[in-house]
Amino acid sequence: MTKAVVIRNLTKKIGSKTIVDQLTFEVDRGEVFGLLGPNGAGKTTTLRMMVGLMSITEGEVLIQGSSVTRNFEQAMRHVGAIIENPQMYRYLSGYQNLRLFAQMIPGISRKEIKERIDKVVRFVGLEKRIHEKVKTYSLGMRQRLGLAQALLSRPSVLILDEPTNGLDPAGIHDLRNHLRNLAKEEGVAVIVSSHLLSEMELMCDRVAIIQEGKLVSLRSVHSGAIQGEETQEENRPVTVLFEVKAVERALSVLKESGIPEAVQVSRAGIEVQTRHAAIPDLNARLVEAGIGVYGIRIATKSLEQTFLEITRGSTNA
Amino acid sequence: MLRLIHVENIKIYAQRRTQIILVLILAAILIMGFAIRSTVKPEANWKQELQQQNEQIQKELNNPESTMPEKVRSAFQLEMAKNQYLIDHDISPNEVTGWKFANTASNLMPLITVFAIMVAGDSIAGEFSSGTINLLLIRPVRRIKILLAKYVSTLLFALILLVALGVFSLLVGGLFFGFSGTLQPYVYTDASNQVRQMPMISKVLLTYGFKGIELWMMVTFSFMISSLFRSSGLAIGVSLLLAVVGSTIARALSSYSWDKYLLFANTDLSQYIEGQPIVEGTTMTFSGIVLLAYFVLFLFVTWLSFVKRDVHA
Repeated sequence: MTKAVVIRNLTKKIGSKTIVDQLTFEVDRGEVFGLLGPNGAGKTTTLRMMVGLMSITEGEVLIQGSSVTRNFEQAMRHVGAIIENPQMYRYLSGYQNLRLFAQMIPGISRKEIKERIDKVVRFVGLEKRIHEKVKTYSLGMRQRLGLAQALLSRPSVLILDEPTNGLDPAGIHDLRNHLRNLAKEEGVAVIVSSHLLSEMELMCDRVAIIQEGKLVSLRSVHSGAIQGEETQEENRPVTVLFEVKAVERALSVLKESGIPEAVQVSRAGIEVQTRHAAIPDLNARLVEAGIGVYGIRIATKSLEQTFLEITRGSTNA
Repeated sequence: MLRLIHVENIKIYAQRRTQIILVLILAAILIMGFAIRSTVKPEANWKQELQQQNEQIQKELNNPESTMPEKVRSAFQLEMAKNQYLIDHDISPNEVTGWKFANTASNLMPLITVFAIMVAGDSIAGEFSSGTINLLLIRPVRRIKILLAKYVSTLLFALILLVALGVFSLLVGGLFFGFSGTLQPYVYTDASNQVRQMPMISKVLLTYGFKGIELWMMVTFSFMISSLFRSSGLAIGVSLLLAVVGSTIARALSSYSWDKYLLFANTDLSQYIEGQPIVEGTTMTFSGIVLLAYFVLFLFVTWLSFVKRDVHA
């Protein structure tokens, strides 16, 4: 099956400046994919190239197998997008705005236009205010109208640039549910960009971290936390937290076992840098030495930690 | 394609601005109608008046101490010849008919031009300043088609204004002065200073036709600036400025040999029917070719800056 989105060596140069540098990744249907990076990292430029708002200097973007540059109309048929804050025609009602955009879908019938508008309006919950002028809408309502607009063409690829900008917590929660639903139930490939880490952790299946236009890391997110790069499970380096009362003794026991990196992190906890496979062995040693182990926990790094490590690291380098 | 034009039309006509424009045009014509009706001169003495006028002009021309420049002198002579023609052919200059009013109402053309330029200048730039361009250009429709739809709807709007001016003024003129006068003679002087006449209906159609071409050029120009600078204010400002001072500049530069290639030396094609051309020695064919060249240039620049350029954040 063709991948929903294929991006190969995508590069954007403006003058002598390289904004996006040899970006390569793929996104599957049913997946929520995040582009994460500090402001100015090239996220928006990447998205703008994907929807044809900006020209591509090098490389290509394929959407359902169609090139955005060579076969724009075919490629864009599969795409719904919100680029920046979705600005609508303020002098028209929400409904009239949607009808304008729906009429630009090639070959759509009058009846279909009405059906699709009704459906997306219900989906984003704007039924009550849809016939009022957009200039009376709050920012949150405009975001919802923007999402409705993006869904009109029943896209299999949904591209959202900083979709949570200006949304209140409830709005963010709703959006997250909408996107997860679209991905899981309807198999839409969702691509979101953000500089907000916590959000990406909650929303995405996979995250690409971009810095200075380059892809610095591609990671999957499970149960709300970023995973290490795909290495062998047993040899995966982990940080383990042992909950013990006799901290001093535990530290010396671990030191004798050849683990010098053990440190006390709290009144009843020590942190150990080791491999995944070594955890049972360490536990056994502690127990043999008569130390009561009250809990063992693998400290998962939050996306934030990972992000900061990666981006700070390469800035300093 | 028709659907795309329809979409662009909605954007124009759904704005309150457009509705106000149409009302303003109607109001301007009505005011003009009242003004002209209140100043209509009595029919009876027109021959005598023209006679007196000619005698006065003659006296001035014969004055040996006169320091009248040659240009003014010949203008006076033309005036005299025209008056004489009216007297000889028994054509009253004071008679106002519906058709003649429609011809006079074409003086409201600058109003139409301003409105058409406003809409043309806003067509592309407005989408940029409101940010809607982002949503517009990600439809599964190539940019060239969107551009074409925008241009067609802009021209359509200008045409509607022009037709509205013509139709409204015929209606108002007809109501005020009667629906007669289609064949009322219109008297003018041509380039070789001959006094001529044509039926008023031809004059009205010619006037609106020529003004329409001028409007077309101005709208295309404004549309280009709109696409080039992505700023409504600039597009409207520059186009208005040129529309107002353009022909003055062309006249001021008429001593230079390249003046005849200026847009504004050529936009008013009526100069080849009535009076003298702005630049001596040019013909209607010449102006037509120059206009066509400008037209192609404007559209090329519009296309280049709309279809080929990046849309930044």
